[in-house]
Amino acid sequence: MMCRMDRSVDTSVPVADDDAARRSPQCQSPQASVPDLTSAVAEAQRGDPDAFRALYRDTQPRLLRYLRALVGDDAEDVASEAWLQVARDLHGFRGDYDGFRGWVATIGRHRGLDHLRRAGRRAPATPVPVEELADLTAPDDTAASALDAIATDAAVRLIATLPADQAEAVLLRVVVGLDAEAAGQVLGKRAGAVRTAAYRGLRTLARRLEQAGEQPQSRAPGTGTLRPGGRLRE
Amino acid sequence: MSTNHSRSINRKAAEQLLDGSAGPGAGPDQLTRVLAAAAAPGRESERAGEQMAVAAFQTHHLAPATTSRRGKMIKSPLAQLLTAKVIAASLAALATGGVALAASTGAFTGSGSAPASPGASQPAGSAATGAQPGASASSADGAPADAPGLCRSLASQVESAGAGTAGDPAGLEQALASPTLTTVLSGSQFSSLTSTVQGSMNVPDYCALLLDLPTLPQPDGLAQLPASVLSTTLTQLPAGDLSSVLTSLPASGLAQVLTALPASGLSQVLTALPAPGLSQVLTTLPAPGLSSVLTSLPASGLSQVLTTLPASGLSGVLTTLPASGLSQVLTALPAPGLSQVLTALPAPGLSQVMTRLPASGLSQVMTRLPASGQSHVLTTLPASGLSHVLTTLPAPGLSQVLTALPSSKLSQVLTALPTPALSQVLTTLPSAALSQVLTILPSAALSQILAGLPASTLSQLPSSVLSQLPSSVLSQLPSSVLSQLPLG
Repeated sequence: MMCRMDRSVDTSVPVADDDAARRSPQCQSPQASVPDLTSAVAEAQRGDPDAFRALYRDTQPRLLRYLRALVGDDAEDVASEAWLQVARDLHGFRGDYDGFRGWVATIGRHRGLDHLRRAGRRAPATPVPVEELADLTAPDDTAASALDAIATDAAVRLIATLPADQAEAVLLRVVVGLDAEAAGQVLGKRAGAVRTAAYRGLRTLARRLEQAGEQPQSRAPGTGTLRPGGRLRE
Repeated sequence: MSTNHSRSINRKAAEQLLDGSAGPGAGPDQLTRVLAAAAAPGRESERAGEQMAVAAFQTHHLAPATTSRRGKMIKSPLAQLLTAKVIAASLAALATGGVALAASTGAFTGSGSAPASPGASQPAGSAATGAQPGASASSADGAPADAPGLCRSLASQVESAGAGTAGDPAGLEQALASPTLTTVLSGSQFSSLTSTVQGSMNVPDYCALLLDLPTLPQPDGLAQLPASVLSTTLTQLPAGDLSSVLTSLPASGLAQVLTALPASGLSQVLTALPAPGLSQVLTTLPAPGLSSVLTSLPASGLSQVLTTLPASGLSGVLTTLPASGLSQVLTALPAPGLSQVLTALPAPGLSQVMTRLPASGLSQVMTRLPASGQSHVLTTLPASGLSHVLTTLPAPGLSQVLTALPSSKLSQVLTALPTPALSQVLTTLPSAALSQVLTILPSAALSQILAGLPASTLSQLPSSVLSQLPSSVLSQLPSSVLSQLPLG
């Protein structure tokens, strides 16, 4: 049984089985689980604020994490701008929820690039000590839940240290939950180029994590935790 | 820490990690965890902007979710505003029973905008008098007997709730725009008002229309309107409002709006615009939009539009058009309009226009011009443009144009031509036309022209033509040419 997401093309698998698979402890699929909000898209287009709220609640965290790689600490502001545009132009959107996330990501990206042009710079990625990622706890570790938020921030920041095209490709695929074609549309590239960029990104990440893991640990067990703000305790 | 070495990540494993189809052990544990952490479920702290986003959504989606039939059709705030006005206009026609009003609003009811009569091209009255009782119940049939009175009452209650003075138009507008309006509207005496326009958000515009308060549609979302609504709405706007609506649109939106209009509506809209507004609208349009707009206009509308434009605007418009569109536009113009347009163009614009026309279009344009227009064009063009025009015209067109010129103009045109172009022109002309041209020319100009031609060109000219030249001119021809003439 594979750990497939809701947007799996394998429609023969009953939803209940799929849910069970996703909840199973063996299933550590990295990609964010994507609920099917296609009906919410249609309802929001007819003016239903609750449907729009549901879209926001699932899409916004994905957008925000993606924008972190693009504009760093200004991601919240840029995401807000993007949502204003989404709210304004939603009636003109055509597509399902996969298409919606791609559309929102595209708007977010454009607003992000506008923001960088206004600021006259490319946002420097906040450096993240790789070692702190090396001992991220496993998701099924009960002690990990309190650190989830910090681990997420640290993970996104680590991905953001990749060259921009790789970071964007990885985040669009893993966090926003787009396939290579859809991510390519957001980035204005061919799917093959996105696959390659994401692949290189993963290789770089793996290499860095591996090097960090091989370094002698000066910390006693239990101190390798992250303090609020995601900074490693020295 | 790492159970898998990074070198073991191949493209397939990476693809599985990326699309979420990876099973356990597909990639290095740490990498899998980092990706899983990045993709962890959203947290409340990440949704801090939720209320703002929903509020923004609500300001753009005024339709209650329950009115899904309309919601599917029309979603923009402007669309709703216009719908309210459409209903109000129909109601006004009903209330007064006036034939003129019914006629003037009849166009509205045929569009998809009026829920009372979707898709029907009935006059206002029939839709509202029960032709479709089910569909019209929520609007026309449910109209309050004294809607304007209710609106005034509404405004005065808003006033007593603490906003402005509702006596004069400005006060009424202020009251209708007041945030306390919604609270007052919830009173039961206004329920008929609210249900008439299907939602309290439409009441202010509805009342503004009934009370004859000046309001202007917002340009946002104009392009999203169904073409029929857009057309009827724009053509009903007073010229000044129309101008400010269209000139406030960004280029892309403007192109979208104008290209969505049916030809008749487009013609009506553009010809209603005052010259400065028209000029601004057409020069704002990007080239493809401009081309599509002008080529879809009927000949009369096109003529009126182009002859209304001031010279600078006209020049901008015609030089922006792609060659094919330019040709289509100029050949579609009736002769008087064509002449007026080309004579209004300043020399550089004229030159650019004439040199960009393909040969067929150029020929059609030049030969359709009245003689005065031809003369103006040829004597206004700088040498390069003139050369292009005369050497591009096929022989019949060239003949017609040159033989129609009066003697002085012909002389001016031919002496202005550089030698290669002159050679080409004279050798292209059929002998009858050449003969006519050379006979029209004053002998001084003829001498000058022939003396400037190379012998090779002269020898190509038909001897029958040359032999008719006056002896004063003949004597200046080179002997090599003279020797070939029958005169010897």
